[in-house]
Amino acid sequence: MSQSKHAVELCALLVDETYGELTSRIFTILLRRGRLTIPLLSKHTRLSPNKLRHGLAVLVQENLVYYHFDEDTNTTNYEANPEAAYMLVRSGKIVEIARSRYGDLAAEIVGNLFLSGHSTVKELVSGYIARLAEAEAMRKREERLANGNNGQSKTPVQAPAPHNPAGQMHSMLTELLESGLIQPLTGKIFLSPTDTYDKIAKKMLQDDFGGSIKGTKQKEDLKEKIRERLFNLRSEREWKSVGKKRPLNGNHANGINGSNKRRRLSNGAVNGDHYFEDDGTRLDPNMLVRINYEKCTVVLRNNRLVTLASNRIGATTAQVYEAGLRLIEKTVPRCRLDPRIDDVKDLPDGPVFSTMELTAALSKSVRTGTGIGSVSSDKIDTRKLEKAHKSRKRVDEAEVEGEASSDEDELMDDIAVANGNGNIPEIDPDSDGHGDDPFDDDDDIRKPSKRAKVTFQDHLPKPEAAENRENRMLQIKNHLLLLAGDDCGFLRKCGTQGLGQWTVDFEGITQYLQEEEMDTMLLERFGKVGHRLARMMRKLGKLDEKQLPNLALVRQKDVRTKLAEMQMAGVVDIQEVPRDSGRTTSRTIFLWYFDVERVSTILLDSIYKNMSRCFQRLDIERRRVQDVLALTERTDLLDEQPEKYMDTEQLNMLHEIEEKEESLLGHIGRLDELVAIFRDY
Amino acid sequence: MAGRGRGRPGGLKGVTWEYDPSIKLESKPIELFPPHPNLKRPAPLTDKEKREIGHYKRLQRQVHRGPLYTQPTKRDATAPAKTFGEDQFNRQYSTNPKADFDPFTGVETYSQRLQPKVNEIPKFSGRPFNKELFPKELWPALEGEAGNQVRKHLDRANEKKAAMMAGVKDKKPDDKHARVLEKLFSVPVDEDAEEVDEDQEQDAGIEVDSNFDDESMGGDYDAEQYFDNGEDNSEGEGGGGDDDY
Repeated sequence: MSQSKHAVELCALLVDETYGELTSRIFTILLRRGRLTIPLLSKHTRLSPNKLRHGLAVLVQENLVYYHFDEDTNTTNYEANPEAAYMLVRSGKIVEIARSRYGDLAAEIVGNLFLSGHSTVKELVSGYIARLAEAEAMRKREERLANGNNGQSKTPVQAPAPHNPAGQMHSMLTELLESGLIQPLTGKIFLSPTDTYDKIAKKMLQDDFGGSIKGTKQKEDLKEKIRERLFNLRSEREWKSVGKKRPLNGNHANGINGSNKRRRLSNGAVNGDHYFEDDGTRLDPNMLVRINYEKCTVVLRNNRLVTLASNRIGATTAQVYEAGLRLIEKTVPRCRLDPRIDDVKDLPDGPVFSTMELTAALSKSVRTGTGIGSVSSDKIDTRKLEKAHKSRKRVDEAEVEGEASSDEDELMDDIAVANGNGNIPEIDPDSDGHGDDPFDDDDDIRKPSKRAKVTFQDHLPKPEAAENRENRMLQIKNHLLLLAGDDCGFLRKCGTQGLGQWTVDFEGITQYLQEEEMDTMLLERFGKVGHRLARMMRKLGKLDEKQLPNLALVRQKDVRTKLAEMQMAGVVDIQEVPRDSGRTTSRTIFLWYFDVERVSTILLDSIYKNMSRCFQRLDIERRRVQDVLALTERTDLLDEQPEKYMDTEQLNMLHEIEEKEESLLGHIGRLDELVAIFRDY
Repeated sequence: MAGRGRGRPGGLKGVTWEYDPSIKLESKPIELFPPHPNLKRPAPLTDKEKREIGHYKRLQRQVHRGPLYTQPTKRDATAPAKTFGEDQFNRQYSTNPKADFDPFTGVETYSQRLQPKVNEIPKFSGRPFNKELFPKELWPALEGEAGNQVRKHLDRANEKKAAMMAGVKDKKPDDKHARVLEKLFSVPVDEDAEEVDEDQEQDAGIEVDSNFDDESMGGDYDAEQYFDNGEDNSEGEGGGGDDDY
């Protein structure tokens, strides 16, 4: 995989920031030069082979390099894994996911895996027990100190240590494995994807085709076989759910137990502090586990979609949406399919959940009655929404859009205004009203006067008990309809079983996210006119220079200035089509176009650059207050509060640098969100 | 060819080639950091973001204190980050810490005893590794066997030497000969073993150093004042080494 200059710089900085200089130097050269052996690495880095071996061992341990042993030449090649290096920047986010879903213990496990790259179950458990023992000793010491000071009067009440830490740990690890946040690993995982492909291709060619292939048909055949083999290989590596110990998901025999969350609550655990009981699950102590970045990205994407739903529709609807996404999360192992491994030709309709499942899974604490106002039913036409949209092709969607959008928009307006929570949804004038643009000609239906009269129906004072199940299910269905009716296409109805089945077209919604971010960027950089021109070109394709001023309702001169400016930035480009063989300027058509893919690549690159500048700035800022920071790192002061040993001036400096760190890292986190939208989701 | 399609016949709008006496040349250098035309304050961090940053920083801190982290060895920390080519990139790092020793700041002082230890190469001794996952050529690094090879090599050289000496002095194999051989074998020849043991030695070493400083040197020889013009010498006598007490 070729990397841009800025991506290389960023990855090198990230490795440097986390694992130090030696590893970073090796990693940079590997990124720049491709795969290398130790002698060549030594030549390029000027490091001694001994140092290189140590550095490479760290990199292998942290999954940052692939290696490949070539038996013919008896050499080992090393190859950088830039994806894993980039994921270092998301470590905070991933730990936060684990914490918010499964509690502090899970956060600790994930954090430990980040520290050690990969580790065995045995090590994780023993590490946890050792830490608990240490904490216990510390607590006892403090207790003694406190008692010494206050006499024996006070006996501090503290949470007792869990009686069976090993069992607890095993259960938690199983839970994490089931959710897919961590995955078991085998030695083969260190072979880079290309090497794996080559190896299998070679073997297939020998075994099935007798060493050589002829013609395109056989070629295709071989490709397909390799793909299948790779697919099987990957599924072999995945964690197989044990499944027997706990009730299966979607098992409605007992009525309520729909999800793990509910199960946990029924175990008598407090929601905020997930206290796990030992359910007897034991994992193979020698099993190796590591973090599964692909699945983490899926979870991050779901979080992003929930935020979007919350911004566009409302908090309650977002909660319903979140529960729905959680239901299908298990069946979504990764965000983007790999054309070399996954079958991209005939995809089945994505993962599905039904309204009934969702009703069972949704936490009781979500008040589904809120969030939607009501409007007299004859004013709403839900026929279009109830209809199951079978197709998932974009072409078909575009066809439907023309007629369906009128009703949907109307419905949206009606419902959105009547947001019972008082959360007035942000209706983005740009994304919502593309009918406002002069070049859009299907703008004949939406008139404010057609808006139905809305009455608020407040469910809040109603007691929970009175709310029966049917009612709740209907309310949830309304929320789902609302999500399906939104312009972004949060959901798509695809069946009628269980009061309606729903699926999510992730591709469409990701595209929506990308377009939204791109529009923001264009508006910031090129103003209203540039933004309008770009969106016109995106919608209508290549446009003749002479048409543009008429369509955009801007003067010719302004259009030209703006387009030239945008061309300089690489956002738009021009294609010349000569009308005759003379190729004179007067007889040539100039077509302007806006290449979405190219713009997102440019954007991505500038984000990488921006992120590395942030890290460099962070480094400089830290160096400026080196003295104060060195003080906090002293071995005797590690666990002390800075207030105890610093004077006011030093404290001020420390707080200042901490504030700067926070704002820079916050900025990096937000940029990372953009990278995720354009690259990973 | 590339500029043909820009659609700006006749150059920039309103610019001609005629002489304009009223025009004034801007000769002032432009500002190095001109104010940003469209700078906005970012939205304040949400609680979730703050937690994420907290986790990130905690993880970083833990890695940095751990055995796998290697400290920077840049000679000049303030050098510009931009480099041209591999050579320049490599040259900014120190290759041999002994050759790059800075006599002014490099000598360890008593107050530095609490500074965190500097890892030059990652330490693998503290934790178990699953060797199966590593390529074979990295195994010596994981086991600390890198030193063994050196030792073997030197042992062999010693043997050769011994054999040679034995050949020469074959006639009088006495106690002296045996003693010399013993000495030769007992010479600490192992670089890496030294490095591993450094931890234990360091503490002891500091003790010795500081004692030595206190008693015999007394700050008489201060490298930084070596080329001063002698004026401070009178007070330097008393105050030179006081910092360490």
